[in-house]
Amino acid sequence: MSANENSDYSGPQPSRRMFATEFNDVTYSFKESEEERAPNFSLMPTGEKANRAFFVGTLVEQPETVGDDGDVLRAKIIDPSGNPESDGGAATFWVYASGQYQPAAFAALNKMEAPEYVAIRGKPNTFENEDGDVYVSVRGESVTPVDKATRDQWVLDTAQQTLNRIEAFENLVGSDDADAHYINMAADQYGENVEKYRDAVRYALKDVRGDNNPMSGSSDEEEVEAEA
Amino acid sequence: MVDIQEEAADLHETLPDDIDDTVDDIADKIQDFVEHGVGIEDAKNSIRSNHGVSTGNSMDADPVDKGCGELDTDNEPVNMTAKVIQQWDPRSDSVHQVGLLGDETGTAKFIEFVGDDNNPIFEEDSVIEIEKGQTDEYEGNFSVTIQDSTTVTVLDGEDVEVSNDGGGESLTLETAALVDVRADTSGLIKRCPEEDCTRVLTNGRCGEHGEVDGEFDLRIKAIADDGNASHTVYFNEELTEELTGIDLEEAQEIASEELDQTAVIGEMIPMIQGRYYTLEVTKYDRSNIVNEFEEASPDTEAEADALLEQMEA
Repeated sequence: MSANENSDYSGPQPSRRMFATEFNDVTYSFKESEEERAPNFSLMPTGEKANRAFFVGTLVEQPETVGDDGDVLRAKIIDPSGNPESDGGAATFWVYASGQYQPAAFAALNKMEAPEYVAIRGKPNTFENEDGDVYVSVRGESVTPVDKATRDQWVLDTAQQTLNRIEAFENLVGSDDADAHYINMAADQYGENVEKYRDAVRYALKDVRGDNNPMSGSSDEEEVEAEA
Repeated sequence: MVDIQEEAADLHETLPDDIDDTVDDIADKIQDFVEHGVGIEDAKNSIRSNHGVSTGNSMDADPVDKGCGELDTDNEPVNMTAKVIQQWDPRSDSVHQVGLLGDETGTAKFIEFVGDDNNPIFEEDSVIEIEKGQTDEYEGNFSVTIQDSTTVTVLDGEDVEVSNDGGGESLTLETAALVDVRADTSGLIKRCPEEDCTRVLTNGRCGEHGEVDGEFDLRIKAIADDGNASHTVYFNEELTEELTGIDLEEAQEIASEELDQTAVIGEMIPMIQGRYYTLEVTKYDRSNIVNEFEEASPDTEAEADALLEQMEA
């Protein structure tokens, strides 16, 4: 999609759709204006800027209290974009919510019981340790328990949008095209290997299709149809 | 037992001489209505009305010329010439077409139910002339219904200017997620009762009129976001009830039981936040007023399969 898609800076920034596989690579951030209150953006390897992200995954463990004052909850939320063979199919979003600064998200996470599907809108946040390793986490803002149907819809939505970005990236990288701005920025920062994110899309879609689930409803239906 | 043939014969006598229908035709029509659950007298009135004969109904008053933004009376026959600004997807099998009309006076929703004599689907941007449409009022909003007795003519080559004051640009937000519901100003709210002021009160105070005795209302203010653009959208009382199943009365009960007005939005948020919808909205400045919505419910397994096939191609 065009770099100028949402030019209304006083309105809310769009919440980008990306799988955890991509989200965890969003290590470069920047501002577009010198103004103190100008929004912070993270750069996606598939060539788009992100101020916020929206995802639906599975809460796999009870959220843990972390931080000096024990006032921050950390939650591990997985999506199906990982390689079933090496990662067991899961890729992880690390979500943080401070009781003081993100009270609604904190309260919602506190009430949840793993395993549970959860929809989250939040901001990418990077942390660099002493060795210079950069970790990406989510500062949770809106947190809501949802159902599998919503999760599957999110996977479809994210798969399509990721594929669109990858296609645009491959077509426009290195060009002067107006829509190539963030694509070229991403190529500079992260390189041009976007095949990894295409794989992530495949894994996630296969999960929704039911490939990984021996108890999948569709295979039962197929058997019944075959007998009919 | 009513003798339909006899009724048909009686009715036929009272109809104009130059009609094509025979007594048998009339009998068939009465039969049709009766089978659809319509009472005999109403059936006869409908048939009379379709043949242009007065039945003493309000619908036989002469239609009034009204603009889209001028509709103000419930159940009034109106003539209008307006542009079809948008066609929306009918959410119900009984709706043939539904959408938004606009002219210099504003905009108004139009609807046509499935029937024997339906009009072709009007093209967006076409101008139509409606004779004897029927107005309908719901929760203060007026719309026009196209009935069997309504005549609609598509005016080729004509244009109508649509006012930006009365209405705004309409758009469809496909598969947008309500990523965030503004809890502090949604659910059971109070509005300022002062004339022409509809401000939402914060802690019983109106930004313009100070401390006032507010009137209860139901609404949702949320961010609808499709990943490429983010829109602030508003659902009015009727739509909030459709979205959540909670009506104004029930909302007030909840608030009373919990002694907390905010308990209502607390119940509503888990029902809708983070979920996918298709929204038909009208844009006014920065606000997007939702006219219609549909919960997204795709066959995700099939779509995932299709997308995977596409990727291999």
